[in-house]
Amino acid sequence: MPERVPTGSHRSAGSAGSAQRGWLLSMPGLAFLAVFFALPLLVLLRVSLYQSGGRSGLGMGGGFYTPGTWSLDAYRGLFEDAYFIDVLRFTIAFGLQAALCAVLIGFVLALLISRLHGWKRLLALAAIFLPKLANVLVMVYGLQLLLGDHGPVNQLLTPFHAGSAPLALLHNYPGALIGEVYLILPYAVLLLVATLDRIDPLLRPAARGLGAGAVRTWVRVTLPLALPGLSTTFALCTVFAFGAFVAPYILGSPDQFTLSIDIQRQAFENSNWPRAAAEAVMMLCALSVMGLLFQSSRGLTRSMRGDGPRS
Amino acid sequence: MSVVAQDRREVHGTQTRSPLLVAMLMLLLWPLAYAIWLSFTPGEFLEPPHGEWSLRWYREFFGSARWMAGLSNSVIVAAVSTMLSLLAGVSLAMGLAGHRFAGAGLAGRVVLLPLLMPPVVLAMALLPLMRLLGLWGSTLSLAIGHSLLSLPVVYIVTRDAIAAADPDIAVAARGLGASRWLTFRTVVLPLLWPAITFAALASFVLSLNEFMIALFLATPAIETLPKVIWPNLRYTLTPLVAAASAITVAFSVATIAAVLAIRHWMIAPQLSPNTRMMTMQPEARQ
Repeated sequence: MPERVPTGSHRSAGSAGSAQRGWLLSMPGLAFLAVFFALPLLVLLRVSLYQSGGRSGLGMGGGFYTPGTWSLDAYRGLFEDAYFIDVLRFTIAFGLQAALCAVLIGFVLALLISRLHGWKRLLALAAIFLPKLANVLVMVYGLQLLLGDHGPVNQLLTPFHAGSAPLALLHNYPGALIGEVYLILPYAVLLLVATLDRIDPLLRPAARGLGAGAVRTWVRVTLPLALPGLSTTFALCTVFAFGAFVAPYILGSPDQFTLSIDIQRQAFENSNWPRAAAEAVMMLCALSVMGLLFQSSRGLTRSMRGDGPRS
Repeated sequence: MSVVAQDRREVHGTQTRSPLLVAMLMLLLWPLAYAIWLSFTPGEFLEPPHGEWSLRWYREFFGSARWMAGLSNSVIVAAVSTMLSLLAGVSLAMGLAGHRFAGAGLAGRVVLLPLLMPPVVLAMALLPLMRLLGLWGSTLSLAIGHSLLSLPVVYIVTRDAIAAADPDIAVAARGLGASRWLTFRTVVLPLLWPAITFAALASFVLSLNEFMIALFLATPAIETLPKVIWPNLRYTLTPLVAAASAITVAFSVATIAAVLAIRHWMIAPQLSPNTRMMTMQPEARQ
């Protein structure tokens, strides 16, 4: 005889057996998260509270930190350091601007792609996503080649500004921005295509049939329905661009150094782990604040429009 | 043209402003294509081949112990990290689906966090941890770091596949007398197989191309390919980097081909809308 036949209890979650089984099943994953995600973050916090190891800029003598100490020196150093404040301010501004560019360009691409079907759509999405399957260095390397003073971009543009100096697109702000937009654009496009796909395809012709012109239809139907998706995409792109490292490092100049770059330099060039860890903790704090701001702004627009949270 | 006819064209999507789209896509792929084109130059300089194409820089790549070590390290790390993230991700997806226990909701949210966290924070957090655990300088440390990044992807894809599968099928199998293990092996696992395969490929590619954690954790003995490329990008610009780039792109294209082939051969409808979106399947629109 088979063991007791389950009588639909499978779906009624909450029974003690089910809870225990779920716990057992997720054990390996929970253990992995605890040891390699939660623990490192605690270690990060602890390292930020050490005294620095007194290494020189060349990494000679001392350690990465002084074991056994508790100190707020690293954090105090951050707020007394005008350079850090500058870097933080720049990173936030850079993240917002890169996200804005990516959302604007990505929206145009998404609008064009969302009208495609079949293999054309597949091909377009594959083209969008291909750079994400190569590593970021390849993309940045290609841009480095293209954007130089004598690179193909400037050669193409020569006829339009004959006689003047070549456009400076490398090792400056435009270079860093172009690079970062290239890197986050695929995410923006995919998210926005998904957003547009969720809009009922019959709404547009319905609006047209009721007498609205193409522009009016777009402004009154497509855009409002895409707005929540646009704001989510903007928030996610800001988060991604906030962590920018390769593009500003390679395509920008030291004026475009971001928080990520500074953390890497503190950890490896100054061998000052408490400082690097404290900056990483500040980065997480900044991200949490951004997340809260975004959530409350969403709640605000919802209550202003007078509709409750949607499922 | 009548309004109705025009609207119908819009509904069926034949009204496409292709030239603009094609131009934008070409602009998007230009850096990638240019780097690959340049890798075939016979000369020393950073310019595309003028007449003759040559495999000179590829020979150099495959003849160099350092680059080849980078390539093999990358593949080993990617394989190990894929196994780790599958183990952790599938276990979490199965454990959290349908079973309610204290902390399940929290775990389901925490597992997504590595996706939103700046890679530099994870890297800086893992560096002291790996030294404390004595894993610093081992390929395992890199694999663990990479699997942390692909864990959310594996979790989402598997979770959605479980949600899309009909729970009554497993109940029916149990009702017909199959043990839990037999049900899992012969009913549940085959249903999840396409999602798991996709998740595995995604983790593999993610690890292959991951840069930030490798930059922080990799010692010279365990350098992955992106870590070997990095100093070349900053200090020397030889066409060898272009060849290395082209080789990583080739890996990715091979992986895309594999994904598309799997999507084609395996039963696509079993994938959830989210996953279909990720595998670029147009039917996900509905």
